[in-house]
Order: sequence, then C-alpha cells, then structure tokens
Amino acid sequence: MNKFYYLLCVLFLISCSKEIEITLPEKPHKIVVNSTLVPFTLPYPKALYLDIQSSNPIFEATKNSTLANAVVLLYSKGSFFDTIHYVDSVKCYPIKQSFNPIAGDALEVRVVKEGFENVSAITTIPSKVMITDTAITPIAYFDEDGGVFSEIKITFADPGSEVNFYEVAVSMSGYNMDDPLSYYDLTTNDEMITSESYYPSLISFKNDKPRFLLFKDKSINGQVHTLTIFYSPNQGYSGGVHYILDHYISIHLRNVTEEYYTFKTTMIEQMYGKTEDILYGAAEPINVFSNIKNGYGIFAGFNNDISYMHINEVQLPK
Amino acid sequence: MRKGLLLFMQLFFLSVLFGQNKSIRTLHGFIYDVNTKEVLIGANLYAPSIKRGATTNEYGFYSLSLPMDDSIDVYISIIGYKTDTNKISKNHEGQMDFYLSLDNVLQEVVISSSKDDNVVNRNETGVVRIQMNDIKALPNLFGEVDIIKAYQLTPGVQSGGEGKSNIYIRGGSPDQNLILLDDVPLYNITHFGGFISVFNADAINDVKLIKGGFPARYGGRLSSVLDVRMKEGNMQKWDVQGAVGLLSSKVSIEGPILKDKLSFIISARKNTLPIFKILQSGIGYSFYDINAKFNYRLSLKDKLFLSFYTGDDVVSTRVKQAHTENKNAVKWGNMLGSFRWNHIFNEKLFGNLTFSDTYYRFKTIYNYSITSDSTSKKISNTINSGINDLSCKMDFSYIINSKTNLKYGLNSIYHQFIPNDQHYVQSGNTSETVNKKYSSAFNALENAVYVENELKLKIINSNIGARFSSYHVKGKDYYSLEPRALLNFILRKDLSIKYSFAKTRQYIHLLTYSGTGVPSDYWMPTNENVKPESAFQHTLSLNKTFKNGIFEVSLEGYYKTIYNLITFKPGESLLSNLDSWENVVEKNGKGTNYGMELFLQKIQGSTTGWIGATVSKAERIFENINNGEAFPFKYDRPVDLSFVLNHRFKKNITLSVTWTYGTGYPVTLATEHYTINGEEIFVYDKMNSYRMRDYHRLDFSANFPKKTKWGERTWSVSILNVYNRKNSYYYYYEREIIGNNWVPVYSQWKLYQRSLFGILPSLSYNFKFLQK
Repeated sequence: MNKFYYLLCVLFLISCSKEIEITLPEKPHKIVVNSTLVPFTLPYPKALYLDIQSSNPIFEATKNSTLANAVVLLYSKGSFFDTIHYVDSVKCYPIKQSFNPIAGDALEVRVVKEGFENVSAITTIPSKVMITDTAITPIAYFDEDGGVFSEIKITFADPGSEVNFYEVAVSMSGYNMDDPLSYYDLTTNDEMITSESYYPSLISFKNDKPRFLLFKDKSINGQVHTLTIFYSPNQGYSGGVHYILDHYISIHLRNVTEEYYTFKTTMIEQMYGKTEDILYGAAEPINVFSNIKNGYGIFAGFNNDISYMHINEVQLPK
Repeated sequence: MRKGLLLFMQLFFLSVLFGQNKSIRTLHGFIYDVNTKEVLIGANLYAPSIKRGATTNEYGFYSLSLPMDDSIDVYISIIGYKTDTNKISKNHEGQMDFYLSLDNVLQEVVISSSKDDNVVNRNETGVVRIQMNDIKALPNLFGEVDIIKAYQLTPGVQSGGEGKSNIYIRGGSPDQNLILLDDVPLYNITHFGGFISVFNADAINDVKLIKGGFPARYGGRLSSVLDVRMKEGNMQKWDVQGAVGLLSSKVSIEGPILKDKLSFIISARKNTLPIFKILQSGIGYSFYDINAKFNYRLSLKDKLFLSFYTGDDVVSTRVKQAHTENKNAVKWGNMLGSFRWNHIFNEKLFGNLTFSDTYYRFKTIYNYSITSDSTSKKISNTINSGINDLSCKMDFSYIINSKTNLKYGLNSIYHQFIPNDQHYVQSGNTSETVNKKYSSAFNALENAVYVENELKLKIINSNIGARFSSYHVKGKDYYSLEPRALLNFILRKDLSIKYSFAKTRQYIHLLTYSGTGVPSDYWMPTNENVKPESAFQHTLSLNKTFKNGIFEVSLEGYYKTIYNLITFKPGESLLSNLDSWENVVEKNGKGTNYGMELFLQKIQGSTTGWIGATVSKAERIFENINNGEAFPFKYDRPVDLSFVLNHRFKKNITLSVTWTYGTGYPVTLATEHYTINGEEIFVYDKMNSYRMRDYHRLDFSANFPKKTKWGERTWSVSILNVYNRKNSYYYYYEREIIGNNWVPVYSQWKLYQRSLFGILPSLSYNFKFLQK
C-alpha cells in the first residue's frame, strides 16, 4: 500500500525539468576586483593581493577570466602608494609586503584596463576586537552517523561606541599559525546569528553549513558576549576505537567592514537561493553587493584576532 | 466625524419619508429551498405586467412594491430551480415567503427569470457569481472541489502559479482581497502550501466575487471582495455527506434540531496522506478545517445565526540524534466566530447585526536540546505573529420602493496586532539561564460608516454611496472618505454601458517573503511610520444579453492605481529586526494596473460555461528596488484566456472541460556571472524583466451521481493537464561537471524550467446519506 501512496506522491510532487532556449541581451564585460586587506603583526607578514578578473555572459562557460596587464593603482590615506603589477606565477596582483594597513586608514584602488570601463573602490579598515576568552568541550554531541561535534565558546567585548560587523571562523592551523589551511563548517544556536537572513532556514532541506558566521552587534552593542559554536573535529578510527585526533585549531574573530559583511551575506544568500528545491522553489534572486564602482566584486578588509587551541586526542565512547 | 454622522442620519430620515406612498403595497419575506428550508440568495421575483422585480439579498430577504388595487402574477426563479408562478391577490401585503424546488431537468429556456436580473440591468460591475453546482462539476485536484480555483478561471483573476489557490485580482496582491465568510474577514485562505483553499465546498451555499465598482458597504481592502456564504443547515431532514479523496477526506452533517426552527451544519476536513513522511523527507505536514453553523428562526421577523470556522496547517521537522534533538515547526491558521441577528423591522426595512471575532496566527517554534554525561542544554525559541479582530457591524437595507434601495450601516473593528512576539528560553549546565520575552502586541481601532443608494430607473440605474473610515493607533489617527459610484446606462433592454469609480483604503499590510514554498505571512499594522494603502479604480463596461438572457457578455476596462504599498527590502528578514520592522521594509510603493476583460457566459440550459479573456498590465515601483524603476508585478499576465464548458448528458452524467492559456509570469534572470574565491556569482538583470514560457492546460472531469437506497453517491473522475503540457513553475540555472580531472571542469550554465504537474488523473467518491 505504501508503494501505491509513494507512486501517487511521486506523480504529484516529482516534477520534471526541461532546458529553456532563451536569448539574453549582450552585456559588456566588467572588471571584477577581489581583495581583502588585513593588518598583520611582524614577524608574520601577510600576503595581500588583488585579484582582477572579467565578468562573462551567463551562457559562456567559466574560463580563465583573470585580467593581466591591468593598471592597478593603490592609494592609502589619500596619497598614492604604489602601482600593483600582475605576477603570472601567482595569477594575481600581489601588494608589496611593506604595505601593512592599520585601523582607520582610508584605502582606495583604481583599475584601468583597455576595453573595460575604469573601476575604483574605497574602504577603511575597522578596529580590532579582542577575544577575551575561549573554551572548548571536545565531545558536545554526536550526529546520527556517529560523528562527534565539539563546542567552542568565544568571549569578546563589543565596543559600544560604534556599529560593528563580525565574522567568526574556525580553521585548521597551518605551519604559519596566521595562515589557515582550511575552514571547518560551523553551526550555532545563538539567536544573534540564526536570525540573520542568510543563515539557513530551520526547516530547509539544504544541508550546507556555512564556514563563516557573520553577524551585526545590534543585540549585543557594548556588551561582553559569549558566542557558542559547533564544529566537527578531526576524527579517526584505530582498532575499532573512535578518536578525536590530536589537532590544532585557530579561532578567528574578525571585525569586518559593513561592505565586507554585506558582500559575504548577500553572496551566501544568493548561493542558497540558486539551489533549486522542489518544495521551496526558486527564491527571489538577490544580487551580490559590490562596492566596486562600475564593476563587480569587493575591496574591503577586516581586523582579525586569532586564538589558537590544541585539542588532545580523545577516545570516544562506543 | 460629527458632520458625517449628521448627514448619515438626515439621509436615513429623508429616505423614510420618501418611501411613504399610500397607493403602493409592499410584499416582503424570504425565498427558500422547499426541501431544506434554506434561504436562496440572489433569487428573483418579477411581475411582468408592471415590469417590476426584486432580488433576494445575501440573507434571502426580498421586498417588492406592487400597486394596491391589482391582482398580479409574480414569477419567482433562480438558476437551478423550477420557476414558480404566484398570483398575488389585490390588497395582499405583508410578509410572504416563497419556496422553490430543485429543477432536475434543466430547461433550455427559463421563463422571464432574468428580465430584471441580468448583466444588463444588475446594479453591479466586475461581479462574478458561479453556481455551486457548476463549481462542483469542474475538474479538480485529487477530488478537492475548490471554489477559489473555479474563480481563477474567470477574467481578471490570477492564481499565482500552477495549482495554487490564491487569487490576484487585477494586479492586486492576496492581502488586498476582502475574503468574507458569513460577513467576517478571513485572513488565510489556503492549505497545503497554497494548493487547496480552506473553503470546504460541502459547507458553502453561495460565493460572489467583486473585482470593481465596490458598493460602499464593503471596505477595508483594496482589490476585491469574495463574499462566501455558508449553508444554514437543513431545516427538514438529516443529511450526512462526505468524500474520500487522496489529499483529504471530509464529512458534513446537517439537520434540524427543532424542525423549521433550529438547524445546524458541521463540516470537517483533514488531510489523508502524510505525503512528506511517505517521501521520507523528514518533514511532517498536516492540515484540517472545521465549519459549523447554527440557524435559529426566532420568529417570522427574526433569525439568529452562530457561525464558526477553524483551520490550521502545521509543518514540522524532528531530528533526534544520540545526544541532541532538534524539533522545529511552523503553524498557521485562522479561527473565526460570529453571531448574527437578522431582523425585519417592517416590510421595507431589513437589518443585520453582526458580532464577530477573527484570529489569524503564524507561529514558528524552534526547540533544541543537547544532553550528554557532562552537558545539558535546552533552547526554545518561539516567534508569534498574528492579528485578532473583534468586530461589531450593523447593516440596514431600506427598500423605499421597487426602484430605490437605501443601504447604510456602520462597522467598528478592534484590531489586536502581534507583528512579531518572541519567547526565548535557554537552560542547562553549560550556559547561563535565559528567559527572554519580547512583546510587540499593540491595538488599533478602525471605524467605518457607509451609505449607498441603489436607484433603478428606466434608462439609468445607479448605486451612489460613500464610506467614511477612521483608524486610530498610538500616536496617529487616519481618516478617509471613500466615494463609490456606479452608473448603468441602459441603452436597450439587452444592452447597457456601466461606469464605476471606487476609492478604497486598507489599514493592514501583508509582508511575505518572496519565493515559493512554506507560506510566511505577517500581517502588519498601519502606524505612524507606515501609512495605510489606498487604491482608486475606474471601470467602464459594455454589457449585453442574447437569446432571451441565456447568454450574457460583458467587456470591461479598468484602471487602478495603488499607493503606499510595502514590501521587504531585498535580503531582509523580520527575525533580526523584532523591534524595528519598519526599517526592513520598503515603503510608499505604487502600483499601476490596467486592462480589458471579456466575459461571455451561457448561464442556463443543460450546457453552461463561459469564455473569458483578459489583456492587462500590472506594474510596481519602489524608490529603492530595481533602481527606482517600474517593474512588472510578479503575477502580471498580459494575456489570459479561459474556456469552461459543463454539460449534463443525462440525469447521472455530467462532463466538464476547462482550458486555460496565459502569458508566462515575469521572472528575474541572471545575464552575467563571475567567480570569487571559487564561488560562482550571478549578476541578475532588472527585476521581472523576462517571462517564463506561456502557460496552457486542458482539464477534464466526469461526474456520475446516482440515487441509492440510502441517499446519493457520486464517482468523480478528473484528468488534469490532459495533453501533458510542461508548464513552468519556476526557472533555475544548472551546469554539469565535465571531465574526470581532480579539479572539476564545468560546462556552461543552462537555463531550465521546473514543471509541477504532468498529466494527473484522479478519482474521488462522494456520498450523501439522506433521511427519508
């Protein structure tokens, strides 16, 4: 009988898709800038760069769209700093290591490339917000597949005198502690983040968990706040025993610019919206924010505080 | 306010004086179904010798003025019933009730039934009324007879998507429709993600849709009135009917508690299949609705009614793991109750008093718990949104003579808004205990008085009136005078031109997230920062009857402008802005809608149906959306056609065929893309600047009713989308991975459409137990 019902449901709900032939108007190619500027502390200089690409018509396959030989001019505090040149070995426009932006600096980039409209963007690096405490509970819960999740608590004091935008991430620590290898998927029950419009819906079919948790300080303005997040630590099996492996993590608390926050949240929203879903249909599309005048992309920055943790090997209960 | 009331009183007393005429007698009373003793709405009385007639109102009441000294034949008729002829002896006056019996053999020509009540003469424009029998004969989804879907087949009405039970009237949004169930507004009209309407056809007596030319007695919404009247309950016999369908099963019981005095009807419906559980999606879904009504005839002049409706939808998820449990649910629904008292003051004055309470709620519940040897934590977060209206309404109809009917009344609504209440509770040994409540509730008072005068002369009919409304909320008062006018120039007995103008005002707003899927309806109040919505609509129509009233045709043009619309800012959400929802909405939007509608109906005989055609345009403009440029309304459909044919072959077979065609709905498409940090980013073109493929669909149904020993049963076969047209539900982009390298290589993006229904046959069984 269930098979009968299943068939009926399939008839009703399982729809079909069909390719649509449509002619779209030709749009001019535009310059796409991608650069995130972060202050650093010596002796660990940070490799800052600009990625300059071209946009493409939607029905044109993604190809190497990097624009070499563009004229890229960087300004700091209203003064010309440098002309940035393309380096083929790294396929981008690296900035001199002597350039270390600091909080409050007004930065500007101008890009000129033949065949494209000139673009420019400005940004200001926000102040640093320190992590005052961290704590970890290695075994917080298990999922239905037996995978373990660890709980991290991050405490920080939000400056009350300004509107702040944050990004939290957890990464595997690399050789250079400031240079993350890869980021973990994160979840949280903190209402400050779950109420953000980009955060996946409670009953969404979409299982992708964000790697970066972005939020505003509206509900915690001027307060000390402890944020609780969960990640799935490095795990392994040996002799039938399930372990959390000995590993290092970096916890990143980034005070980001409003442009950075808007760019990344709209990017996540667009990404979720693009995922086709038979129950939810296709959401009303949202364009990704850009602060690049006459172009696309982002030229922004953040100020980062990083806390490192060492997690010892833990044998998990059977 | 005082001046308005004074004018209102003056009009009333003037009307009373004007109505006194000693050489005229007045018959009044009710027209009933002879078998059930339920009133018949819209039944006609016509005295051919003096060319005068009357029509029963929504309570089945009529008043007909006749010369004092003559004996006069009066025809009483309504479609679907045998025409009755009564000789009214001279000098007879006072209350006289009439009883009509069902016409099982539909005749090709019904004598004089429409002489005084057809599209040419009727003092209304933009009004559609489909007989319940015709609605029940139409093809349906899994046996769900749906009155909303029937009205979607008429000109100027859009569904908002394949299979949906919403109505978008002349470019208006669903919140701009005044949906009345027994005179009480209903806020949510769909179940099952919008695929089924909440109206259980077994409990409905009459439905009327008004798209323009609104009489002054209707107010509070901008775009339409859907006036739904429940059955009153059989006064004579017990009657049990029901249906077993794949989406839902339902049962209705009606009968006399005190014969000819007190009757009731109770009707209940529940979803049959746990569809999402069967699909193992991890989602639970259910819906139900219950209608009930008690009807008590206190005296010949007094009737009391008690009506009740409740209906809910629940979507829930539950994920239980070794140490954690996550339970989420979204619930929404309506509840309404009303008490009404009909009173005949005298042969000319009829009154109705209504007390009602209508409540719409939308609730999201989030529960999370984690329990291990060392950790315990519980989080519960509930967000409530809703609106509760307590209302008192008085309506009077003073039938001065057969040419003049003065209607007036007043309405007071006490709105209790809950835009977004929140209750957050957190407990456990790993975190601080939190119990936080945010209350957003506040109240507003909406008042209205109206007066309208319906005049029927030889060459011109009119309905001129005005509605004065006020709205009082903390820190702000709003007032609005809403003139309404309908002029009907009767050029010939079978040809007329009608013009109407209506200003309408709406003090509540609906915020809804775009996209399809689980509804998210938040009713928001007008306040000091968000102004009430207003609309102005002009209509002009040409109306004609053919073949002695068997065919009716109307060609109607309209121009409607809407002001102070609101919508969410792109990407914004209410959840993060509990205390400042005004900041996440775009305000002061404007809508411009115009079009032309053709409606050709065959309303009598064994073959009935209609052809509808609409050419229209609907646009919206908001300062900060689409760069401030006008864009097509999401459900703008420039061309819309419908063809409906019902045919009764024999007593026990009825066939129905419908075909619809419409221009594709607008859609926003990406025209460019680029990559940042490995993520593909789309650049979308102007809002709603492209259209999906044109829509068309053929549906078919056959009904096989049969009398049995115990009553009646009907097998219904429906085939939706007979020729398996793949209509667009939505568009999306997709690309394939090509090559087998470690680093994936993608093909170019392609645009696809998702279709919801292919050919969809269904079978349902309806039964009716009748007391002998």
